[in-house]
Amino acid sequence: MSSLLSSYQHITQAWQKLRGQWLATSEQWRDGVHQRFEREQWQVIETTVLGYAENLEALAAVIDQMRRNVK
Amino acid sequence: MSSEIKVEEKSLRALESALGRFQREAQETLTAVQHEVSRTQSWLRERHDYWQREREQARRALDQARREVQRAEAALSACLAWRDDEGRGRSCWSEEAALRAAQLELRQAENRLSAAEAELQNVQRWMARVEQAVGEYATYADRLSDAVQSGLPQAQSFVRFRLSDLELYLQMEGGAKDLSEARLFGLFAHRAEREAVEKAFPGRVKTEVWVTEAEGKRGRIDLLLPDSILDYKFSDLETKRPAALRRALREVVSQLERYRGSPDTPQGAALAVHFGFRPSSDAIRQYVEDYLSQHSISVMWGE
Repeated sequence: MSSLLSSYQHITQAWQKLRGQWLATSEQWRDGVHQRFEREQWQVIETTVLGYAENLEALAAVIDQMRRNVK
Repeated sequence: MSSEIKVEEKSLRALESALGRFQREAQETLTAVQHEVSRTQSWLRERHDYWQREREQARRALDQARREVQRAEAALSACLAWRDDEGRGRSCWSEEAALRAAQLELRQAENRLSAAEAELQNVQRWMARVEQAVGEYATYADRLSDAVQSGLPQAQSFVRFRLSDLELYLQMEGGAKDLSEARLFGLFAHRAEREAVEKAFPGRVKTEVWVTEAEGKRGRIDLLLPDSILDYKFSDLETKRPAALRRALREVVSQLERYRGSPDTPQGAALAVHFGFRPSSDAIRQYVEDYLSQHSISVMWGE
């Protein structure tokens, strides 16, 4: 497995853990600040992380293909 | 109620830790990927240089092979033209064999040059493709890096602030024995102001806005309007000695100027302080207003 693919797995696993904790906390966090946090903080972080992971996966695929094609 | 708040508090503490862990892991990923990208780019440059050298060597070998063919052709021609005194020729078998060998070398040299040129073009195509992919990746890496430096700490601060609210509730329920009255009142008053403003101006004002101050520190503005910054203060100015009052005002000025200097606030925003306690002494009110007006800070008094 390439080092980039391993980094991709590292960040996606870390993200899944954080997301799991967020979902668990959401169940307990009842006031209006919860919605504000979700809107102003969480959604921004989520968009950033998912965009990053998607691009890292694409980069890993290009570099993997390159390694197999360049002598 | 108290048990529900304790469950919420525990869950928020877990979220705060999870945000911190993810921040570290995201930074590790960014560093590892940057390292791997540099290693890949360096390897590609090395392959590019290798195939360039191969192409140059193949060109030189091709020139040499062409000269060998010319030499062999000349030798064969000389052999075929040779005649002895009686007009007889001689066997040119070895010259013909030498020419065939030279022609074979030439074809091999041509093939080697074609292969080197093809590999060089292949490396150049992949260099361009990798650079494009790295460029696209870099945009998202910058965004994640911003999140690591700013977004995730801000989210943690947000959670911590909510935790301080819960602490307030718990302390109030427990008789507030461990919380100083001033702190308790400050927490309560900030919360009440926030809720009142949000209710009065839904969606029109921003409350508790986290901003970046100098040296990457974070500050929390109580109320941010499109063109002004407002902070609430709930300390009783009247009970302060003159030196303590001056210190408190210096801190107010410093805090608001840090907010105004932040890249996250509107340029040239007007500054204002709302003091929850209105001193009964005209002299104190005047002193406070004069002091803050020197720094272009407006004062509002609670009733």
